[in-house]
Amino acid sequence: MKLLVSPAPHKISSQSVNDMYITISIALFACLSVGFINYGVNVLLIVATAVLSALASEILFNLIKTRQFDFPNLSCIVTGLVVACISPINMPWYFAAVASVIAIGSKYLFGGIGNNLFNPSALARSVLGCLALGFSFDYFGEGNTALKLILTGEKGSLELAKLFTGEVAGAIGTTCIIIILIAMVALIVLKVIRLESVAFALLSFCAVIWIAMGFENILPMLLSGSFLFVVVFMLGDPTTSSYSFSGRCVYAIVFGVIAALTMSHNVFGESAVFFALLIANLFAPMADRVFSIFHRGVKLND
Amino acid sequence: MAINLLSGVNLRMTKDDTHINDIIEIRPPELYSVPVVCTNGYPVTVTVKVGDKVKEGTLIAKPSQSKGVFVYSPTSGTVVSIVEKFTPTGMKCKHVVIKNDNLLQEHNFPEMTDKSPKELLKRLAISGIVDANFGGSPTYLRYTLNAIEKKFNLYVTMSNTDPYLTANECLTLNRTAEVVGGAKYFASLLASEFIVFVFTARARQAKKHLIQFLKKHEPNLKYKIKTISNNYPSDNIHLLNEKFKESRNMFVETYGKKAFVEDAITCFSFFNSVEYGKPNMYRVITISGNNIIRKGNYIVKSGTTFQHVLEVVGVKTPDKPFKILNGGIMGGLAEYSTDISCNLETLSVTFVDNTEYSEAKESPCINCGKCVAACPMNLLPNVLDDYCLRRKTFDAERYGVKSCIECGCCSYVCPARRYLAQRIGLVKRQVSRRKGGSK
Ligand code: SF4
Ligand code: SF4
Repeated sequence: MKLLVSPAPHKISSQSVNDMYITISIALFACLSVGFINYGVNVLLIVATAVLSALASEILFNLIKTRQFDFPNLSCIVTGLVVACISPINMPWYFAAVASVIAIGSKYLFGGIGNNLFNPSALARSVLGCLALGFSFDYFGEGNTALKLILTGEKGSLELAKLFTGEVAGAIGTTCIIIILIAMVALIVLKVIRLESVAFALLSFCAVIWIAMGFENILPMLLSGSFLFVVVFMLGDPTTSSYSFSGRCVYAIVFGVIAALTMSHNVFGESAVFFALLIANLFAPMADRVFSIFHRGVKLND
Repeated sequence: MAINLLSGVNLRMTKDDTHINDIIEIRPPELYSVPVVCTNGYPVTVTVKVGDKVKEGTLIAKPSQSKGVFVYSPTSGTVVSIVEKFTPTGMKCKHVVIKNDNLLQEHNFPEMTDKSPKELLKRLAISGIVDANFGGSPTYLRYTLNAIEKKFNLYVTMSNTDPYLTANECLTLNRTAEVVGGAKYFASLLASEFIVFVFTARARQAKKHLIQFLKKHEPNLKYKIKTISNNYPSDNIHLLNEKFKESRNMFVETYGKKAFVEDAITCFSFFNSVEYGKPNMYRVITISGNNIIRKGNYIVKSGTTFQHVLEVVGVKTPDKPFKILNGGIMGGLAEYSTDISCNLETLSVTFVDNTEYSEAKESPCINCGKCVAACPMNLLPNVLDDYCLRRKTFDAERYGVKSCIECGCCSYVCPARRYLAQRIGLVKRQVSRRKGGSK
């Protein structure tokens, strides 16, 4: 008879980190497949390059950091897929590779998994947006993006129904709102993302748009400019959001407000929402620090 | 900051149906080795010598000072030796080894004619009843002369959240009269206006049964029913204490804000001790787990070894490695030997094999905050863990490590499989030791 000894608890929940990443990846694949249907084969090339280079750079950076080969967890795949989703359709494939390397590199710059301050994909996208001279990240194949149409006052030519099915110009994985909404519900139910961050981001965004642009612009703005995609797939990234409930609420509100302001004033064009996310990322650790006073435990007297 | 009532984890394991069947007295072993000190550490004096004949219920140890516990012999027989051994919670203490002579002679307390609060308190003090939840400190210490008849409400937990622990529910269903009787004695100690019976939401059957029983047999009893969440550990004694604490009078300064929370098992023991004069040297324990053949609620006498328990209940796969847990699957201590004896603090014994316990490799924290949401004491397990790893015990203390109740929820939910509760528990003990506190 052999007895095993270990400290309590003897049972752990079934959801592991990789399970969370697999769930997100499936949702991202759904978005990308709509992109593939809408925009054609170039999508495949971008996805493959982004994912493979993310995987390769994760392994490489990890080798440099720890000097041993660990099988990477699936966060790099998610990063690769998100990078692909937020790329403009006509982007050359090597841009996707560079974006993935920047994304993973930025993560390791801060000390590896769990330590990065900024959302890797948003950072890569913003860096590329600033550096890619001669290539406009606002240019999305045929026609104007929904956001541009709204901001230039040509809202008349915008069909809301088409926004839902994703038959508009935009970043690859972010245009089909129906899929994103389904993914949102599924991810909340499966406890991969939090209801409170989604809800507060949407509420604060709508409120600011209402003030800045009027009530009739709320829905079109909500559905354009990759906003919903970012709320569902990037805002809830555990590492770069707050860990406490109150922190998450503040973080989501900051994101919603800044996104609404930058988008409505056409500050960064299509990249506005990613800049907003980066700024909100800065607030997350601060909010945690501030709200940690509520988490000092209960004094027991026995 | 208050406790986090929405916290905890839903274990999503169906309760065993062990609560339906009545309690079973475990077959008496040849030898009992009775631990004569409880973890509260108050010293006791052994009152028997090697070779003495004892009856079931003979006093074998009494407190050396005013605080301390009375220990009674679990069997009639002969004291064969007094040895130093480890208790299930890892304390070294004297054990009185008694050889069972199977004569079944009993030595009970005299019958109680005067059941006034003072007399009841006296009986409680000598009964040997200890708080399994407060580290084995004698129950009467909470009910002192200053506490009795102060009209505090009595709370009685009638079911538990741990998926295996059904002893309270079992007693509620099968020994309702004894449990209610015991609760009434406790209530008359406090002169409570109400007895509040606390159920977990899952224990519908027991709740219905109790209400019917009270309607039929105790129409004059003033009682309330409270339902708490199914989430582990909402029935934890510290949480209930926080939830129900009453801070009405001078009691606050003297004893700290404390609610009077008993469980059905203690009520059952108290009833037997008042009504039949039976000293408390047994406890109703759920013996369960997925690796055992005869699950159930057993009356296990103090000093019964795990080896004997194992022989009685039968293990499905004795040749494969398994765990014997002193306690439930979330908070239980894994025992390293079967030679250790159950004591009066043993809440349950759980035998689990590798289909049940989970092992996983740690990975870096991804900052998801699930542990924060799960912690019932409103701590930041991820931050504390970081401090623990970097040995910053002062910072850990600043972040409230001492209020961790070691429930294990944080480790349970953590998707990165970090050993949060384990490390935090370790640092908590280091901090307490540094302070020289008793906790
Ligand atoms: S073990 Fe401690 S830190 Fe972890 S959830 Fe329980 S009380 Fe909180
Ligand atoms: S649950 Fe685990 S991974 Fe998540 S914040 Fe807590 S320690 Fe980190």
